[in-house]
Amino acid sequence: MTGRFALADVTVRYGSQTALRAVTLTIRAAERIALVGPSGAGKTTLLRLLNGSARATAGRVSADGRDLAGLARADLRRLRAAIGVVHQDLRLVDNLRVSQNVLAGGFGRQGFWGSVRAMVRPRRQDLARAHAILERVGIGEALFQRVDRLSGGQQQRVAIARALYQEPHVLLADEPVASVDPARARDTVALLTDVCRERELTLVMSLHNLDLAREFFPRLVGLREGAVIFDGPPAALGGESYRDLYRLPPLARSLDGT
Amino acid sequence: MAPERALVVRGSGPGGARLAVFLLLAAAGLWAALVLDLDPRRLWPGREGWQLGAEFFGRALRPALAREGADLPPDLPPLWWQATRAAWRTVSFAAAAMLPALAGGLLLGFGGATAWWAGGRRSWLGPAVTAACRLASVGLRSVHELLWAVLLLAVFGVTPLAAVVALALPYAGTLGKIFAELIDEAPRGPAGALRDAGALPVQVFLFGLLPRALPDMTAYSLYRFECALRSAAVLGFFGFPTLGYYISASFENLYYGEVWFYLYVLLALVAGVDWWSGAIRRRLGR
Amino acid sequence: MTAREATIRRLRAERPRSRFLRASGWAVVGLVAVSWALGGFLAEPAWSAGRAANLRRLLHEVVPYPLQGADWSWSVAATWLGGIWRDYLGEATFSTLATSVAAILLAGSLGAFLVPWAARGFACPEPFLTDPVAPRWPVRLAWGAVVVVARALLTLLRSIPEYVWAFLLIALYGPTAWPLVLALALHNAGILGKLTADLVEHLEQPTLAALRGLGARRRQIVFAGIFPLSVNRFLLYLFYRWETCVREATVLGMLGLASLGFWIQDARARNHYDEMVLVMAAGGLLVTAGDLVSALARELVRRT
Repeated sequence: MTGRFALADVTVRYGSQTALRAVTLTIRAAERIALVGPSGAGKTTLLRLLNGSARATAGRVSADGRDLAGLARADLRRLRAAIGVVHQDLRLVDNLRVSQNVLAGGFGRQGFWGSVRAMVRPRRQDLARAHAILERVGIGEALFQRVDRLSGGQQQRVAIARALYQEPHVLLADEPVASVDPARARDTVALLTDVCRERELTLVMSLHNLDLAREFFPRLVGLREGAVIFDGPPAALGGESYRDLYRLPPLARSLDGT
Repeated sequence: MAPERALVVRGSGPGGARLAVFLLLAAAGLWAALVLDLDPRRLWPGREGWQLGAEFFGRALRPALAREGADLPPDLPPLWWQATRAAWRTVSFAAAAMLPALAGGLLLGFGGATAWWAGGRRSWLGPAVTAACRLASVGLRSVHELLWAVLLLAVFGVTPLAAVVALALPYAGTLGKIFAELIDEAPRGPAGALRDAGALPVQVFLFGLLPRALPDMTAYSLYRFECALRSAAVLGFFGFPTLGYYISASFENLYYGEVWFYLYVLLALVAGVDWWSGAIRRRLGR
Repeated sequence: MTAREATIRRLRAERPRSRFLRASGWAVVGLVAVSWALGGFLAEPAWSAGRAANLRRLLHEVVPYPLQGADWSWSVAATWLGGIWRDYLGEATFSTLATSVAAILLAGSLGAFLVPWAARGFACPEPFLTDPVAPRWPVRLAWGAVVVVARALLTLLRSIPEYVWAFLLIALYGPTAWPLVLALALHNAGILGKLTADLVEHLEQPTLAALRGLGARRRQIVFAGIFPLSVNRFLLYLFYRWETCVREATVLGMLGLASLGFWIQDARARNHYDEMVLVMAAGGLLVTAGDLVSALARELVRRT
């Protein structure tokens, strides 16, 4: 996998709710994209589409030119192994050690016994790789600590390390800084964009904070009510499109409930 | 914080449902008292009972330290040795029974949880296995260990194996039921993250879901071990050579001091395990 | 060895671990292993011709008496069952249920009565005040003693199994329902008292401290603070323990008093294994029904 994605006229509906409507988007390899827009605009759904967690109701999602809808179980597993995901709520196994959480990132390429070995008595070279990644994200010393003894910021770095341990071609980050203080938010976004530049990973991150998105990303995609209303470099996001992005829905429409 | 604000205790008004629960409880108590013909005046034992009670509970502070009774055969082991052996058998019955009980409980618990198939591809297999495991848990649990013992006695006779199997069967059911609940209550976030990383379902279950349930499962298993100690002691009333056997024998011989000695040994065992499991729970953060 | 491997080795050596947990784990493994090695559980082969014959005989005798050696007939089985139900099974089932209900209510009252004495945050010179004016040492010592005595009493109550309590109390009371009810009540009062005392110790302190700060008496704190804050959890515990009360009530009768257990023992003494298994099955159904009712009741309490 090289990390190219294409969405062609994609609509996603959950029951009567429409999460994305007619989205067309091309993501090139090693590109860094920030998804911006108000909550409920469809950012999370778009990210879930990219690793096959959500299915398009209509339209076509493809990675490296292959349609994700037709993927067999094993191919889907291979795709997910190549895509690292960092969630807002981290989703770490709190009462295991950092090393175990990071090594769990390798499950996608391991059989059952390989993963048992990684959890119980990991190989030296695997531990060394995990340690190198932890050092890169700044918490090398925490290798054998229990996750629930770490601070929130350190835990976030463990989640990033787990995604990087997958040796992914793509990194998806869903609001990674939504619940952290501003200084740390900036550090985390800087870390993620730096790492992706170094390793030439495709990065797609949903962000609430427009300032951070403008500072760190060469391309912004603005979503509103499930539709793409902006796609371009930060400089092009002028006052007009900015207001469009965060404007309240017109009163009449919200009363209709549509 | 202003004291007036602090005084508003949440949920303090007797809500309708809670009041209904209390009224129901009161009605149930009245019904039970009528069915059983429970006369509060009879709570005060008769003169004979009172005498016996005074005699028996009077020995609580003066337990026997050597055998009571006259004309004892000279080859009888001393009381402390008898009690130590009975205590060891009580502990060993309980500990031995926990092994098959845990094996069965884990099997029933894993199968009885919904977490290993929920969210996967729709199939009848997962719900069917869950239903079968839960049914088996309920069935094993609903028969008391003493009743299992009575049934097994008819086949095995008074052998240690009968005691262990009698304890293991209902305990496997109880552990299975609780394990299934704990696994289903464990947070699903980590499991979702591993699935996103391309992990197999079995990897997701064992390393994403189970670790979070494990401390609670350990704590509950320790509590069941404490229960197993008590149950093993009671099996003595059915002829197995645990503490219960000597408690009943000494009581029937009217050696109340000996009874209290055995009771205190049982108390020490149970309280010791209680302290130990509490210490483990604290360190596991539960 | 590379520098990184040396670092990893150092980090592994420094990793935090609990000696106590490690030792406990090995102690458990050792205890189970020694028990199986020395317990004599497999001294004779688990399965033998004699035991197989026992099992065959048991399975034969478990078939309802009028149907042994005859073709299965639902109407005969129903007549047999109806006869036993009218004879004693119905009454015994209801008295077992009543025993468990009376016992759990008594246990709840007794346990709740002991809670204020056993909860450390409350049984002290100034309940729930975090930085009280230090009282004189005899006062502190006296309250400390109260807690120790109350906790010891709760431990004593719950350490002695229901069956042993019942065995001892029957001698005192003779053949009324009291010994069974009291035996269940004493054991469960110990458990409920401990659970609730732990619960009260972990209640939100500020609210209760404010009550005391306003000059509320102990009694007022109990009724205006502790009760409303802990009643729901207490009810959850109560229903949860009631399940075990039903379970235990079925067997306590084996000591010779009217509950299902009495008839199990009676049928066993008469060698009527068909009746014995029938009564056991009735007990199993009662226990399962109790579990269901308790689960429903707990759900109801959780919603309020």
